[in-house]
Amino acid sequence: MQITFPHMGDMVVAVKALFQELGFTVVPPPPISRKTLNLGVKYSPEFACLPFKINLGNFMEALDRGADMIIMGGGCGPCRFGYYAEVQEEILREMGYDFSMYVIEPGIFSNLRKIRESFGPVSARKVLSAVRLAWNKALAIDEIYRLVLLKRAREAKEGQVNKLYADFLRKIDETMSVDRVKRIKREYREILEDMTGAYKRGIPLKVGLVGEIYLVLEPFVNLEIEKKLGELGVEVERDLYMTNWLLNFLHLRNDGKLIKRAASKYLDSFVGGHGIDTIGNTVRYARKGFDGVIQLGPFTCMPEIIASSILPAVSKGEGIPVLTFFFDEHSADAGIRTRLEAFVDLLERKKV
Amino acid sequence: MKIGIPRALMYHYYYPAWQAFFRELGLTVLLSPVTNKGILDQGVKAAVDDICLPFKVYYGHVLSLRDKVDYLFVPRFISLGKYNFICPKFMGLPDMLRANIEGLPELIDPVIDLRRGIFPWRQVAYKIGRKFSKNIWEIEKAYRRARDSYRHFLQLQREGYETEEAMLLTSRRGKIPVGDREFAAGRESGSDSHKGRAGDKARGIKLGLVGHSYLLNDAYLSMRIVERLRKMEARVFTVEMLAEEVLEKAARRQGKPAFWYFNRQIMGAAYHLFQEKEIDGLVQVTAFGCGPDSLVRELIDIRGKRIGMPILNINLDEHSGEAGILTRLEAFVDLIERRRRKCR
Repeated sequence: MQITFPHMGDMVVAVKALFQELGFTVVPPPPISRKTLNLGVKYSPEFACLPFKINLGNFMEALDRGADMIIMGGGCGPCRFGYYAEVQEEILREMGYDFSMYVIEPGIFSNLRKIRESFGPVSARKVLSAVRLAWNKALAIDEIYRLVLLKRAREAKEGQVNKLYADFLRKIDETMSVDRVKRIKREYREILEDMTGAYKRGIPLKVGLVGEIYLVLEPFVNLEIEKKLGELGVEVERDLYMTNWLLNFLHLRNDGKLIKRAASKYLDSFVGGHGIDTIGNTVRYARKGFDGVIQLGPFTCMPEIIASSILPAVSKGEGIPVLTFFFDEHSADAGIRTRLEAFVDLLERKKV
Repeated sequence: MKIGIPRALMYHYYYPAWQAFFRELGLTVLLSPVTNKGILDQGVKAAVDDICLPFKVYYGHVLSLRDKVDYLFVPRFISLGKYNFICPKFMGLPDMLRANIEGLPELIDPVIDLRRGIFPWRQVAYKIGRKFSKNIWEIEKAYRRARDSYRHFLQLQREGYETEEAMLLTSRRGKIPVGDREFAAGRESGSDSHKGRAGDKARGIKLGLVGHSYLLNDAYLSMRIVERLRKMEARVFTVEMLAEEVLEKAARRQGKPAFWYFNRQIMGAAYHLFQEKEIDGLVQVTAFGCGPDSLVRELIDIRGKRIGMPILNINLDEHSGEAGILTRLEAFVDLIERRRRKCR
């Protein structure tokens, strides 16, 4: 059995470790490229949202490379993501691919049974150690990336932080021991924390990133917006991280309450996806004294459309500039860059 | 006191119940006018660009009622049954209106979540009712009146009455007895004189027509697709003509049926019509930017293709032209006719 799964930011490192440690062969899809996008767009429904198309492209490329087992998330709405797997499976079968698909639906017991059916018996100790390794890798990546988002604004040499992060990722990917993961994490944390040079722009500007999780986490689809902001000398902060999402999903943390309370003045209901998080976090960032907020979402995304229609009221009520980007397969680099530069200039003028 | 109900979205599913309920409580119900260009343009201007067509129209209807009423009825729909959701935009609707439209009257925005509680509809009714009446019996009476009206309305739809007609008949109940099947059958076959001209005589092809009721039954938005098909003397079967159990059973043919209530029904209707081989072709009407439609449509397309069913997909937005739609409908009907002749 050759396992594959869709890309989502740098999480490929952790997911790969999980299945390798369990003793499976993993065939991760090649990094998302123009070709992935084109494949996805060609075979997806025209008005499906962008993550659907990229996922489908990932699957096709991985299946072409010999994978025969797709692992995918599920759910029960109201966001479209919960229905992705059902449609993608039908499309791939219609195209003649032969594979099996494991969809992670909510519900612990049904999952345990299904896992046994699909993957055969695996010892509990092995599962535990695999999960521990993957989890530590994910934590390390998220922790270091949090620093990367801040430190790009004050690097001495252009591209220095990006290079550091690339090295870090490679090292994490190569190692298979929890101790070493922790050591690498400590090492890079110290290097990054020591970067306390002057800000590129002369003044600190801080922007909060909110929106739909896939668009925020995956640099290919958001046209590396975080990198661009870093180049412009802006510190970026966000609450959307894979580990953070998982902790909340498993009820080990409860940011939801905080977010709901912050959002309640403007949006008084759960709306699926990350709609309420977008509103709640914008309010929280405003109250924390951020200079601006940027919302990212795929074109036609239902929860983010709700959020984006309410955001102007939040912006007015809390006094924080907000910029919204909806991405689809036609989004172009230059357009995004121009709008970003104008937005950052505006923030700067407001501050000085 | 006047309560305004926008003639859009859930109006097309629940208006008879709402009308009966508020009337019984002693309110004057004011309905916005039938969708027209002015309403659409206003809505397009007030709503965000990215939202789907039916919601833009809803904004327009709200604007047309804004200064004329004391209250505006904008329920927050969350779920219409176990394991079901509806499109999330309904969940944020009252908040979106408040953020985008200034000078709104007080919104009556009860949460409607049928996953919770034993008698969820009754609970909602009491919650709204308490605002307008102190008398519990009066509220209960209003609730029962609403429920009866709604059942009557559904019954009429099953029998083949169009939604608008069924609404009219429900509100003038008593004049035409329910179960006048001949009348209904006449409508179903699409002739304007209700009796006689049965479907098989003239062209007599049978078409399935699926799509959200708030799109198909808005004559302006859908460019009178239903009427046009009937004029071409096709027998048209819609989602509303099928009973909920039938829809649910058919939808379960999909391993994991859609979890959006209305799209699950659409899916069920399409699969049911495919299976029973009652139809010669399927017309699918979707709204530009509709999230659930974008995925469910694909599944229906794939299944249709497997059994060789001709499918016409029409995607509507504020720029759709009437001539374009008509041409495509005519071409589709011609194609099916030719196919039928060949088969004979």
